[in-house]
Amino acid sequence: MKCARATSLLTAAALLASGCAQTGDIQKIEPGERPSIESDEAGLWMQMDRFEEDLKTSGKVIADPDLNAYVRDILCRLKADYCVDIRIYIVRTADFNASMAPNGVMIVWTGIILRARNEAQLASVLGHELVHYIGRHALKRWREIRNTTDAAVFFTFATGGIAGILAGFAAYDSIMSFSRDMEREADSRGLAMMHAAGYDSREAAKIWQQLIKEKEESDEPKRSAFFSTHPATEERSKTLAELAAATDNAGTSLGRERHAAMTAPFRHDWLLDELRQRDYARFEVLLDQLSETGQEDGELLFFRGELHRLRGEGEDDAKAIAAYTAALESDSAPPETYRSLGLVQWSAGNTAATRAAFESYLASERDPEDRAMIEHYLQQIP
Amino acid sequence: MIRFIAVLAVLTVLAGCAAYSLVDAKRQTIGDAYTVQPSIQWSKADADKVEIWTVDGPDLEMIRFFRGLSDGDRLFSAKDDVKLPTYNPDMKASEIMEFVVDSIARAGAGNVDGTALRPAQFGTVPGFRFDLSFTSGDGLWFDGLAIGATIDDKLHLILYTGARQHYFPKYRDEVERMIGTIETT
Repeated sequence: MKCARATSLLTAAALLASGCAQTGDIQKIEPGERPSIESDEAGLWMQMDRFEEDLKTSGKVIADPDLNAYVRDILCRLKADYCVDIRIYIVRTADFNASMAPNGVMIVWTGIILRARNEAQLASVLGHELVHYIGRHALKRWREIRNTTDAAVFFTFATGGIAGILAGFAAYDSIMSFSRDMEREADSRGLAMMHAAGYDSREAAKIWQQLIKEKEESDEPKRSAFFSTHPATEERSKTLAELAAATDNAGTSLGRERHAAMTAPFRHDWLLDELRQRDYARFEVLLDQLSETGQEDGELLFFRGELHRLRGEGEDDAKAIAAYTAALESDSAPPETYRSLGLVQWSAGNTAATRAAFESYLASERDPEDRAMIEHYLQQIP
Repeated sequence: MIRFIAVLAVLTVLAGCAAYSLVDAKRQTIGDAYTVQPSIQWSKADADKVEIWTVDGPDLEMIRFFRGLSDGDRLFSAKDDVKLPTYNPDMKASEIMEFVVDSIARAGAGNVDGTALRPAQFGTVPGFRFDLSFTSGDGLWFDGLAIGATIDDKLHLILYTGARQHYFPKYRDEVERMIGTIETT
């Protein structure tokens, strides 16, 4: 660790020295282009290459080939000539975030894929990040901050801080947060890119609207990494909506069905990740948005029940029971719906209903791994 | 994000930077509720309602003895506005497992999974135990086991976690044997 930190500081010193001679205009990066070895940009890339080596073996990175192929396909559809330069890492983390490193590492949190209601919305985020890469925004930002104390902080992130690789990258992301002009450029060019790729550009503003609602309702709005680096403002959403309105979206696609199909195998785990943040008000907004069609499926109803059961305030017990009961009327409720229903019925003092729920849980198709505990509960219930 | 890191910072301070003392291989009193008999020497760090034992270092493996959490207590220290789950004495074993799993997840771990919840004796007191797995902030896989009981409305919990490769298995038998020596007072 000390060795790595020393190396980083030496690199920082070298970059600070080399950077002094490099103050000219920064051109966009061309497909396949690599920085010259003596440049400060090469130093930035080297740091990110080291980070990427650690990232490759992280247990948080989702390796599922179908999901990766899906996200990559969207990216390549947006900008085929840059496709080979970008390595996407889908990281299982709650909350909405995506990051673009100067060397072509794009990190996409699962929270963003969960929240996108269709392929077009995901494309708007990927396009936005891709503009940061093409515009060399990280290099621009680095040159702006290199003579400040932040520069030293920046070069500690790759040495592995207390919070690990991803938090370290988040710290990098925060330090390197792009200027408003860069964000505006990423918004407008990203929108043009998604439109050119055949996606309905009106979806870009919609995902921002969703985020604004989440932030407004959140019990802990400052926790979000994305909100700290990408201000979710009405102005931003309005600008995107105006830009989209000025384009002809006839014949464009949403890709709702493919997005639903590709994310369905993961949705339960990703919703669980969000629930575990215990930001109940924000989670409720998320559930409302995911069930906007008015037809909540059993899985979403189960999570609505979980939200009320865990919060346990006011009429939450009754609302949890109603949600679980509705979930069980569908054919898509997970088996643990019965267990959760049993727990909340027990808490409410409904012994007969508790027993019935636990017995149904034990009788469900999948042999429960906590069978011994549930059987123990049944012995305790009068 | 700053608050997220603050949770981890507190955990790290608690686990990594606290003053350690030696725990001899003789019967040790944990809080005011029970004793255990280790068969090897451990290093111990103390905090308010938890003591941490480790041999190779808390980043690699550690036992956390949570000593009587009360109504409203959180598993880990953090600022008041960080939404960590809180314990309440009415929790069933399933809900206590959720409390532990969600606390670990909220502190920044990924892929957190609690499995095989089952009844277990905590000394002479009926309790529960379960298994754990998760990835650290660096994406390193960890395994764990937890055993606990509610005694006089307070949660007593022993949580052993270690890196899946080498460290968790290295002391697992010692931890299992020590669990077998719990004597409630």
